[in-house]
Amino acid sequence: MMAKKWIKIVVPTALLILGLATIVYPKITGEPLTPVYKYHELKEYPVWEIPIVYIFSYASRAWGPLLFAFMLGGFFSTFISKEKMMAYFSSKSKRNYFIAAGLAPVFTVCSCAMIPIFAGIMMAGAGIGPAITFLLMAPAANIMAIIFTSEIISWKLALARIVFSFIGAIIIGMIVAKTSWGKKIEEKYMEMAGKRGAKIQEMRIEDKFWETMHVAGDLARRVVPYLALGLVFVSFIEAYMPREIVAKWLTGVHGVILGGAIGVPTYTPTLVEVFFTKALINLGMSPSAALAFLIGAPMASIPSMLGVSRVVGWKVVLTYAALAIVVAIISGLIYLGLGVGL
Amino acid sequence: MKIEVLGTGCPKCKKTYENAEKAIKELGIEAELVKVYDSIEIAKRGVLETPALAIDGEIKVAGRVPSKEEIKEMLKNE
Repeated sequence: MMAKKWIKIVVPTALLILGLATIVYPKITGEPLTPVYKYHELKEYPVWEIPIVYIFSYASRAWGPLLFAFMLGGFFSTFISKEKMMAYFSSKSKRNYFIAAGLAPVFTVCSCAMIPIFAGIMMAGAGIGPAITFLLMAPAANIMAIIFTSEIISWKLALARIVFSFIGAIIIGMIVAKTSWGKKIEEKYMEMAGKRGAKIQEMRIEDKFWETMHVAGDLARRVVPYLALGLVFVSFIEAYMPREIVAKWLTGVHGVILGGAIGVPTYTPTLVEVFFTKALINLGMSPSAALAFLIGAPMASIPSMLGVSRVVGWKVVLTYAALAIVVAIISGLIYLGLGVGL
Repeated sequence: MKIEVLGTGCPKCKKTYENAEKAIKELGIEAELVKVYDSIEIAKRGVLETPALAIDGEIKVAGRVPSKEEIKEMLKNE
């Protein structure tokens, strides 16, 4: 019995540490922990080999960060009580905006869990503003997105993604709360305010650790197939998209504007946006245009807008989506102006 | 006794429903098993993560799939 208890605690912890080690080790030694497969000019491979080479290369580089992201997602989801967190949102105050933006990255690792929490924040009594802030911050700057932006692209861009998403999500939330249609929705939910999060039976500590594996496995099942499929498309883009087009359209001020705007129609499943951006950067996209895309695409993606519109109506959705594109473009322009680079 | 499975139709919600179904059958008790789909209704109940399981209106589990054995245990304690 004792042995079983320790296995349940040690295995998930070991996997988390292994994932972390694959990220930290290369930073210290300059060498990857496990061999990395490198491809040459993608165009020179036969067409059918391109996605295989591409996925294989990323698999050899990204398995560790993926493992870390999934396990960390599992630990956050299991050990941070969302019900307790809701207590922070029980009154209307400006502080709620910062709490919503700060908690969003750890609150949820998957967009499917967002809508109940979004509704929950409004019903807890915080109003529509912080709920919108949460909704925008979660997909643009969740832990998985940030780990991967940092690992695959660069830590500077990852940091910029967090900072600009944070400020942008708060400003957009505040603006939506001021609109007449936003206030109308809020009144509807405030009638239900004061509903406390349900009290849930606590699990034993070893079961909590073990539960992280279930959450991580579930996340992997949901993310990996779409990621693999997304990489097939991205591999062809990297192989065949002419550099001249990317260099012409996705650089400079107009590149930033285009980067912010193309995010809406090009819905990319969780994490695929990072690899897609990396491919475009390899082809010559400027870092500032990449930042605009990385902020705009997840904030104003069509599937999440469809889901949210059922809860708050189209007017609110279109307002925040339009503002998100503006924020994405402004962020890109600031990054361009600062001249930070990759 | 009324057992509710709250979830918007995700695979985990279906699994929870199946486990609850089996638990009731194996215990041979009289219980009404219902699904709650509506996301607003789910949020009203204070559930932030699906699937969730409620017995006689009280939320017992949220955010994970309870095993058949676990549900049996809960039902016995009611």
